[in-house]
This record gives sequence, C-alpha cells and structure tokens, in this order.
Amino acid sequence: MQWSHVGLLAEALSALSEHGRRTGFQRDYGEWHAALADLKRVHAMGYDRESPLIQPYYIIEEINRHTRGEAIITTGVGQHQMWAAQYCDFRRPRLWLTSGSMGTMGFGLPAAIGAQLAHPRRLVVDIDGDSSIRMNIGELETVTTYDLPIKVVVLNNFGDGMVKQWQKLFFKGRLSASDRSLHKKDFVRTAQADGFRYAARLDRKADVPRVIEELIRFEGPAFLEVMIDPDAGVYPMVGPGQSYEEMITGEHIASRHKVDIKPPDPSEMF
Amino acid sequence: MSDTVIQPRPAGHPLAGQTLSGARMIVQVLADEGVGAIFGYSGGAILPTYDAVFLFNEEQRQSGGEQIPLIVPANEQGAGFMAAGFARATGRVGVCLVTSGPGATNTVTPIRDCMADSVPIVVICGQVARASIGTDAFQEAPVAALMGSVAKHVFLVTDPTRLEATVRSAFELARTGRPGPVVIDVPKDVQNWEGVFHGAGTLPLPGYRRRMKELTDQVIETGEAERFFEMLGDSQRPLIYAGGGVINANAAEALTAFAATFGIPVVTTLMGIGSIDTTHALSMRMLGMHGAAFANYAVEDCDFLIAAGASRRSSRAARAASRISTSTAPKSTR
Repeated sequence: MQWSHVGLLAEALSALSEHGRRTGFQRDYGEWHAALADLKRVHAMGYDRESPLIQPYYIIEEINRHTRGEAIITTGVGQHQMWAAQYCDFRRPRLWLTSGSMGTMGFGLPAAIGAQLAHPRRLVVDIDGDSSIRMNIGELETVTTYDLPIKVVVLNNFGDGMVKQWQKLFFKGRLSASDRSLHKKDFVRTAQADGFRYAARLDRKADVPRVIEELIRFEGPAFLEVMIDPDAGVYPMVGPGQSYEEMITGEHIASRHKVDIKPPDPSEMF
Repeated sequence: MSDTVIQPRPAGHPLAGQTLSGARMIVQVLADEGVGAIFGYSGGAILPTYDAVFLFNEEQRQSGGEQIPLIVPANEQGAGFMAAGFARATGRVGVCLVTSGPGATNTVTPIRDCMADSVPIVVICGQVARASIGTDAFQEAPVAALMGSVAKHVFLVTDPTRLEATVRSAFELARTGRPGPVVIDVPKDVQNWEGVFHGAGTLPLPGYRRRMKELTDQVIETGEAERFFEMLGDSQRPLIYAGGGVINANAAEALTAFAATFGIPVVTTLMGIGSIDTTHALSMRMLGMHGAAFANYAVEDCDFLIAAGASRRSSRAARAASRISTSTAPKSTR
C-alpha cells in the first residue's frame, strides 16, 4: 500500500497533524520506542578510545562539547564530512552546510565565509580535510581580509581518506594516487602567511581538550591542523549497492548481522 | 515566453520613471531584494556593474542607507560557494557577481552543486558586448550553453528593456518550487545601456507560474488524510524518513510537531540533518551509507516509512521501503 502527496511540505504536515488531532488519533508505539532505545544503546556509535593516536571522532566530540548543537558546521567532502555528520549535534535547521549530492571537495571554507557573513554573531566551524581544504585554500586569505571569526579545523590524515578506505576495502590496499604522506605542505605556516593570528597544530592526544577549547574561544579567525590517526575509517559503512544486512560496522560498533566483507559490483557508486 | 513584460503598478518605487543604466538597474533590483551581500570577482565584462555597486554604496553611505557588502574571493568558485553558504544558512537567495569567460566558467561547479542540493542562488555574469558574441572574443565563453545543462534556468539578456524584469524574475525562479541556481548573462553593452527604470514588474513565465500554482494549490483532502491515518493506525512501527526538502521548505518545525504529536521516530538523510533536533528523543539521527547502525536497523525494522522532502533515487531506504508494504512521500516543493 502506498500513499503520496505532492505539494507544500509544511502545509501538508500541518494538515495531517491537524486532522489527526481533530479525529483524536492515538496509538501506543511504546514497544517500538523501547525497541529503538535498545538499538541506540546496543549499536551506539563507538571508536577506539584507548588508542594513543588522535582519533577524529574524539576531535568532533570535543568540538561538539563546546558548540552544543548551536554552531554552523560546514565541511568538505570525504571522511571528515561523515564524522561531522555522525558526531555533531544540530539543534535546528540550516546549521549543517555540506555538499551532499554533488560531493564537491573544497566546499567547506567558502561556505563558512558565506554563512558567517549571513550570521555575524553565530559560531561557524569549518570541519575540513587536508585534501578538501586544498581545493579552495586561497580563501583562507578571504577569511582574514574580512576578519571573519571562522574556526577552521583540518583533520589531516595525509591524503584522500575516503578514497583510501575504499581502496583498502575493495582494491586490495593499492593506494593509487590517494596517499600524500611524503608531501611537504605546512598548513600552519600557510594559515599564518594568510594572516591567521591563531594557527596551531595539534598532534598529542593529551592536548586535545585544551587546544579545542582555545580554538573555539579565540576571538577572530582561527586555524587548527589536527594530526589524526591516518588509518581511522568511517563506520558504519554500507557498501555501494549493498543492503543494510551487509553493513560493515567496524570493531567498535556492534553489528546484529554476521557480515562477510564482499567487494561490491565494481561499477556501483553509492 | 511571450514578448510582453508585465507592467509595473503605478506609484511605488522611488526611482520609478527615472533613466538609469542597465548596471544601475541590476544593483537596484539586488538592493530591492534585500540581498545582504554580493560575492564576486571583477573583470572587464562586468566592470560597469561593479562600478554601479561602488556608486550605490557611496550614495547609501552619504544618505545613511544600507550598503551591500561586496565580498571578493580568491577564485570565483569560492564566490559561488560563499553565495551558497549564505543561502543555505538563511534560506534567502545568495548572490554571485562575476565577469565573463573564466569568471563565469569558474562558477560552473558551485552552480551544479546548488542545483543538486536545491540551493537558491542568482549568478550574474558579465558577457562580451552583443555584437561580439560568438566571435571567440577576449574572455568569451558560451555561458548560456554551459550553464543551461547545470542551472535551474539561464537568461542571456539581449533586449535591455527586459533587463530589470529579468533580474527580478531570476530571484523568483531561484527561491520558488524546487529552489536552485539561476544565471543571468549580461552583455557589457546591455549594462551600459540607459533606459527607464520601472521599479516593478517581472517576466511573464506563464508555464512556470501555472505549474507552481497547481503545485501550491494541492491540499490534502479529508479522504486522503483519513486513508493516511488508517495506514498509520495499522502500523506498529512507523518511521519518518526526512530529507533536505524539509530544510529547504522551512518545514522542520511542522515535521517535529507532526512527529511529536503522534510519537513517530525520525531518521534523516545527510541533507535532512537538522530537520529535527538531533538531541530530540524521537531523533534516530542519520541513515544511509555512513548512517548510524541504529538508524539503518530502524529502517530495516519499521513497517511504515513516511518519506518527507526526500528524493528516492538511489537510496537504500527506498529499496528497504519497497520491501515493506507502505510508504508515503509528502515531497517538498518550496
């Protein structure tokens, strides 16, 4: 059975709410709610909290501890984008700005500039990746030219993390053109050269809470490069063309299916 | 499209009836639309309009009126994404002003990005003078052909008397229906043309406006609502699947109220994040390829999936929904 309506969404939802209220519609979904609460508890997000390396999820959790779902978060495209989507809270619409359909790397920094101009007093954080930010890194200078108090966080895992993740899973670990660990880019000096008075590199796990707090509280443009575990992956992952039963949850999220990692059809996209 | 321009209402705009340059008209319509900021990079073919922005802001400064900040990126792709960031964060139309040729082609990526994510922006590109179009002139690119396949709509203004109405119509097209990017390609001689400013009036767009009216006139009849609640009543495990359309349609409040009234949990797509407070008791967060495991399991376990403002093109949730017996789709149109 199907039901559909094409029209104005807010009006349609309000009309349905109104109809339900008027006719006294009521159902007890208590059992369903309890089942979902169990799912949330048993299959909660998780990662290796004991690792000596800085885990990207930890960084996002720390940012979120300060922003509390009230900041505008922009991203590039790739692993950091998914980590931000998974670990940040959003208390209202229009705080989460990301290139969803096109998936354009380089979106985060200029989008943050536009958002900060629209909302001069709201905290704007660009959670970016080392490869994504390079696509439009010239706009660092735009941030300081207009003295926009944007916080730029680059999660550096030396390369195209999402591409590497797919290559590890589906191309027997052949990291064709996705690993840049030999490159000599110095992001902190780049930011300094573009006029950032706060530009720091975070590479010790013990410093994470202090540095993130410093960054968020800094008045004015601020730039932070975080040297994250280069092997950190995005989990869960439902491979392209695969069903939810085939979802790979990694070592730190409980799965309810026994999953053999099968390579997807090599031509499948997402 | 017919040749007539809907004529303005009498007595309205303070500049109505005055002779202005095309460039000044563009800036005036931007000011009337309350754009808040212009993001862009100058160049030969757009110089008259940049000059008009300068003069407008100078006048405003002297009269104590509101100026339009002009934000200059390093690259026009940045300007496009700044306009998009502005639009996404506010729901208002973002504005990007660039020159011809490379200025315009550098905005192709953000324009396509805005189309794909339904983000309202207006991109105004300078173009070589009308007589030079098609001659491989300096900094010439076939903007109408390039953008035609990526934008929601493209105008090449060849008749300067229609410039004012075109700019105004571009804003209407960008923000109505499924929001998206609208490009206006303005030859340099059209910017330098002088004519009477009307202060009101839009292009006729009869087909588009009729389709919009048909869509916005759609209401849920009582019988349809009854059928919906029968299905909901038969369900033990209903789940709302909220997409970016909820955000674009400014329907987050209505969605949260709907979910809370009947106690229906909500998963969102990547683009639907924020359509319900992620810390709300009914929020099951994001589903999908990298969605929370519990969100994806919720989709597996539900027996009635209510899609709101979500496209169903390639998503697994759509496939999951096709396995269960019921699904509904109040789609966003605004």
